[in-house]
Amino acid sequence: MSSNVSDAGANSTEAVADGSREEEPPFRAACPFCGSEDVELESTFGSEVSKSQYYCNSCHTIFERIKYDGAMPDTGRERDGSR
Amino acid sequence: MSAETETSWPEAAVDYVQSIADTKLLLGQRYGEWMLKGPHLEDNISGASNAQDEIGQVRQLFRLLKQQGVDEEWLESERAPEEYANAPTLDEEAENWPTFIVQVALSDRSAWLLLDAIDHDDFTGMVQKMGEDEYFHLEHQDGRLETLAESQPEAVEAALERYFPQILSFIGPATYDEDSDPLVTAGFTDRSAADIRGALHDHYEALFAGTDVSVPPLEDDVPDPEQWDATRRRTDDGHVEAGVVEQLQGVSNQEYVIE
Repeated sequence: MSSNVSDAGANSTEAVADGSREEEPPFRAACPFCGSEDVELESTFGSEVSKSQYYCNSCHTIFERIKYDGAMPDTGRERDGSR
Repeated sequence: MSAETETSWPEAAVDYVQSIADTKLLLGQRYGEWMLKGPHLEDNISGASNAQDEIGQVRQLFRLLKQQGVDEEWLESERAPEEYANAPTLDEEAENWPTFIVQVALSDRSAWLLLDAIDHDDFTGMVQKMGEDEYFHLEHQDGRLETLAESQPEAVEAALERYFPQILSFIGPATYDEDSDPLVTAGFTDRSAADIRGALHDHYEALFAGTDVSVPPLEDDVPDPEQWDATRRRTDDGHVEAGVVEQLQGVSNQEYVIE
């Protein structure tokens, strides 16, 4: 699967063929080799539990990033930030 | 509520956390069973990763339970199958992929909602970290459910009809509202079982909107509050298989223990 992260809409979360979903901003990944943001999410699970895997359309390189940015699952209620 | 760290919890809270921990223990087992059988490589990687996350979370929850006086040997290696308080959705290994995804999606999301409802200092920070793990579990499962709803809607709907009443039993009776849920009134949680039931149902209604999959209705008499066992969070005496408990307790590895 692949999904173009840099073109993702502000609030879009769209299922793709293998069940993965496009990541939403602020998860804007940039290639660590050439700096391009024209990258595609290849897999939400990379070589380790804490990483996701990307492909750079600019320099054609696979790279991984630590994916924990503090995102939390929806609970159907507002968070008040008290915890 | 803001109780002091490592203070005694209400008795009902120990059962509540025990049930969440046992559900996560069984989630680790079920993810592990399926981590080489998924239709895509990513499913297998996620299965292995999710299993590690769940077992790691169990270790933290067991640590807190031991602080509350729960016996360590009983917790980890001396329990009979009927003493595990896991969600009934996880009693048996799923027989096919769509059933497995529905099984773990409902169980993992419900365990997260119950965990998120805890408002006690012993859990501050820890639940945030667990939520960061769960974000990826639940996103992956929802994506899977959306694609399966297109390709195998009948299988998804059949699994929902089977498991949705069971997961409502794990969350708790509809009669447990803001004024009557004993954990809310004790100040241990800040969200009632009734509210969590509604949130879970709303989530799947929105997820399957526009597909051929119908989510079972939110029946107020499921589980029957008169029959509901607050310790095992179910109405029947069902339990996980003895062979699985032997794996959870590492029975076959005991001969290698160095005294």
